[in-house]
Amino acid sequence: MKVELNEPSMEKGKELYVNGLGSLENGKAVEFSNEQIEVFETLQGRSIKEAFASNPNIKLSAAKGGDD
Amino acid sequence: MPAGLSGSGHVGFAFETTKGTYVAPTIYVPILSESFRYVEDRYFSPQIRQATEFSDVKQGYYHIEGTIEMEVDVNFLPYFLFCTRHTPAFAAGVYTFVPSTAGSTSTAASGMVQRTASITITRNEIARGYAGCTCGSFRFFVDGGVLKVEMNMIGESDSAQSVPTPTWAAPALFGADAHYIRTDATGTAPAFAGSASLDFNGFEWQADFGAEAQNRIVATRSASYVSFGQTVITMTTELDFVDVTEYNNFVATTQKAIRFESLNGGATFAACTQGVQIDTRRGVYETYDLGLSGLADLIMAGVTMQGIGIAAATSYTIKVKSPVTIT
Repeated sequence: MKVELNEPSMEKGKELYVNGLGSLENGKAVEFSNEQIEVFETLQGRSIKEAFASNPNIKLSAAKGGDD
Repeated sequence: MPAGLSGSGHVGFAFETTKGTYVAPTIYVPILSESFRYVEDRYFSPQIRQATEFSDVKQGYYHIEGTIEMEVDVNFLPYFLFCTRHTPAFAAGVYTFVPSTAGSTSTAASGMVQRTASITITRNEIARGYAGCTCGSFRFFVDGGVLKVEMNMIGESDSAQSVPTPTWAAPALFGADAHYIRTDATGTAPAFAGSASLDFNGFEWQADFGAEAQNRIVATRSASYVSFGQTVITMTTELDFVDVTEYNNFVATTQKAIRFESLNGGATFAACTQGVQIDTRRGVYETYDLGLSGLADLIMAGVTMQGIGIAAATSYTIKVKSPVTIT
């Protein structure tokens, strides 16, 4: 799965950390493996879609190979 | 749910486009502590009906108030300063905040104007959303060599929210080697050209806008807006008592300009990569307390100064050099 962060008030390329998932880079889509997503969802106790549902600046999309 | 630790909590921030209408957070602010609380003027009925206890209770008007204390980080400070009684401006990476005479909170979808914020606080995986938040007063201070700020926040309403997922930026703090204090003669544009002062033992700078939640008769219990009153600027420090110069200045109400700076990445505000600069153009001593406090104590003066108005300029200016872009 790809996680893309676009926070308009922060500089492009700024690195932001999501607990249990890893680093995101503002303005860029970062690909995470199924295993990474599973760890994150286990820690969160909810799906990644639910976890980021309220944040309009984060987009989720299927990675190449369609493991969404 | 098991008991939770404060360290597991988080605070999210979002500007509002409509004052008092909750917006889910997109910015997550590392804090040291918060104390947001629901404050209600609850009505207990004192009916006289052959009893000596209150006979009923009704929910009354409420608002939110509490503090946020955090280490100053220019990745986050400008957001909060937009929610104070200031007129903001932005040029060349520097946010400038000058005092305004606004009587109440307002917000806008964009622009260099005063805003309100929705602040989402998650405690033990339970999230509350506080809408219509403004910063009614704030205090910069150096603690353990690190510049910190404590903000007294007032909000209009609270509501249950789903727990958001924070994104965290790396900290960018101002340590003990970042701070400078300079003094100059009072004036509309003091140059602060002299060397940095060596006299200040600690420094606090506070702006209090006299903010109060206002409830009006509408079909809701939450606050209608937050009003502002008198602005009071206070500086607090200790000075070594080595001569009577400052004591005489205190007695004579001699005024002076004071600049406090915290800088990273350069020794001047122009050269630094991140910075906070607070210029008070007309400071005057309010107290200068001396004493022999103990056998081994240094003789120091406990000092407070007030920042007062000056013709043809603003009484103070806060500048923040920050990488964030608030439009």
